[in-house]
Amino acid sequence: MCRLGVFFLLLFLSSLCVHTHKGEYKEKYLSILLFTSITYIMNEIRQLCTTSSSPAKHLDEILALFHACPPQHLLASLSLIGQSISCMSIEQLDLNIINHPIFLLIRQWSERLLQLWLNNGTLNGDEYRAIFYIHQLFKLLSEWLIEQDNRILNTTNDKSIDEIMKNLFLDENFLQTLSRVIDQLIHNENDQPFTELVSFKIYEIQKIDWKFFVVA
Amino acid sequence: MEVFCCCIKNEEDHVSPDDIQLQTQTSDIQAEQDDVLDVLYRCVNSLVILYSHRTLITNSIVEENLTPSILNCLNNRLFVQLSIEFLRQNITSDKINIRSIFFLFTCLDYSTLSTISISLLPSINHIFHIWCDIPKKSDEEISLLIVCLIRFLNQLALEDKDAIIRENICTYLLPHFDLLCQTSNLIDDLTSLIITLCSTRNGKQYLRQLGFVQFILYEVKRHVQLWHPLGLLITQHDFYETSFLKRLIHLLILRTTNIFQSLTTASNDTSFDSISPSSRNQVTITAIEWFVLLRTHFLSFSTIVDELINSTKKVHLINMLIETILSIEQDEDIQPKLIEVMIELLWTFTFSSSTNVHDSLQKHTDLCRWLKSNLNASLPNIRLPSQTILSMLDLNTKIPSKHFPFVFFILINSNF
Repeated sequence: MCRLGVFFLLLFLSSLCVHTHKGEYKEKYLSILLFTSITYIMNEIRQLCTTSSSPAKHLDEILALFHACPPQHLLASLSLIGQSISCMSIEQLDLNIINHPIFLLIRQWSERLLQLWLNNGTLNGDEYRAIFYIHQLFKLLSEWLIEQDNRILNTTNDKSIDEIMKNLFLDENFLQTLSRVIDQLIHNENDQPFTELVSFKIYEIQKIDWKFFVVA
Repeated sequence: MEVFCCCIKNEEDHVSPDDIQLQTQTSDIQAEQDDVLDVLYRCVNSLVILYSHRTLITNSIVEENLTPSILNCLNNRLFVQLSIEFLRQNITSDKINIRSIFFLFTCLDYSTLSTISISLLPSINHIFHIWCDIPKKSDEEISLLIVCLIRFLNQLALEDKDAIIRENICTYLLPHFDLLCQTSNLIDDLTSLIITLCSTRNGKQYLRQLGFVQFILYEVKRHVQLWHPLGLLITQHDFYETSFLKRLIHLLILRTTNIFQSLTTASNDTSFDSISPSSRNQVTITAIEWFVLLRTHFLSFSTIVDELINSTKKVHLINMLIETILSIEQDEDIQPKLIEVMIELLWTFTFSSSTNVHDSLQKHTDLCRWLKSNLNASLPNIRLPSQTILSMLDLNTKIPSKHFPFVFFILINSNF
């Protein structure tokens, strides 16, 4: 929480700036201070996400910093958070992380991004990166769930997983958005002449984990 | 945005951020249209996998809002086209549109787990039809798509057998039946599909008309799971063909003697290192399952009973059965259930009019002694068959003949 304190101090300083300085200096100082505070947030998020032993311990702080983020930097922060959590191993992931409000937040953001694509038919670089890392996170979650299912029955754990999954994903609007995206994707694919199938360059063929897809 | 340059090294089985070439300097510029589509496919794919989780897939909100979309996707002409393309070409081919294939597999898995719609059957029928026409090598692996489709059919059969029969999909399983059986993980789905279809008179008739009996008979030696569907499918009619009956009897003897041998080995082996209790337990379970299957599905035909008793050229099955019983009953750790099913098996054989069986029984004085000692056994399923066998041999004078029908009645009840 001391990190947040520093951030608000910076904001306070920048507001002081507005009152004490006039003319050209005002704008200059303000922008420097604002820039410092924004960089500060990003750095903090980055540090918490990447350099600390586990981002799981700092989820509250990360969430608070995310809420304090100015709108134009939200997507970049979201990518950063998504990336850091999705880089965890299956063993590191646990119910406390999945049950954290930050997970619901990410799920809600995925809905927003999917809707953006449905409305605009395209995504900009920030949106694209954000949805990429969110997808990584979903992928990790599904692998984790399969891993849990393979374990020896643990009914209390199972019950809490079921509850958390319901809270996270049982949302009619989200499901409708997802369905619309599926329809749109298939529609797009149908429009392509079939003979001109392109290879999917992101996947390297060896890396495809067929087993995972079959198990699911 | 230098943040995105510092990609964290990931575990091998994850698609790491390195896999995607991020355009780090272009946050304001529109992302490449194709990359966006790729990432959306992946995102949708992961989400459908998440919704395939047992908690969510059975929920009515998911059923109402997502399932129609998935089914619509699978019924799209794209599905059939992609599937055919996938089957025709090698998986490593550049021409395969991996992202859509991936997604279609996920949708197929989803629909296998959800409330299934029979509306997919015409498309599947078409795909199987094309698949059959593609030439195959004898060591070729069955396409993953076919594995998924058979798994799907197996689930669908539980809901609606008649739909599968109506679409005549099982025809396509026959031309490459040997290849299908060889495919790991597929044999159980295939067996289960046949068993499910056999559960109705209509289904059994359908599979028999297609000639499944012969195909299964030729695979049952290598894939013992197929004994169960074979037992369900055979009828007296099959025995008119001498070569069929000969092969069936040969295989039945082979399987039974193998079981006897594994039982004797497991029971004689007293050293703790060589056979673990769990593998020993497995031997017992396999034996019990086989004896029950043999008695209920194969020995119900008197032709088979007589053939098994009288084909004594290579192995004398009845002698082996008696010797195995006497060998394992000395083992203190043996499961009573095993003794029970083996006595029941012997009892079934004694009903045969063949003189061979009675000769064998009478020759084994050990057996008679042991059967007599069972008369005081606490388990009725061991005591009663022993009594009956003895009384059939007229060796036991303790049971007055007027009790015999009563004993018989109990036995019938206990067996079914």
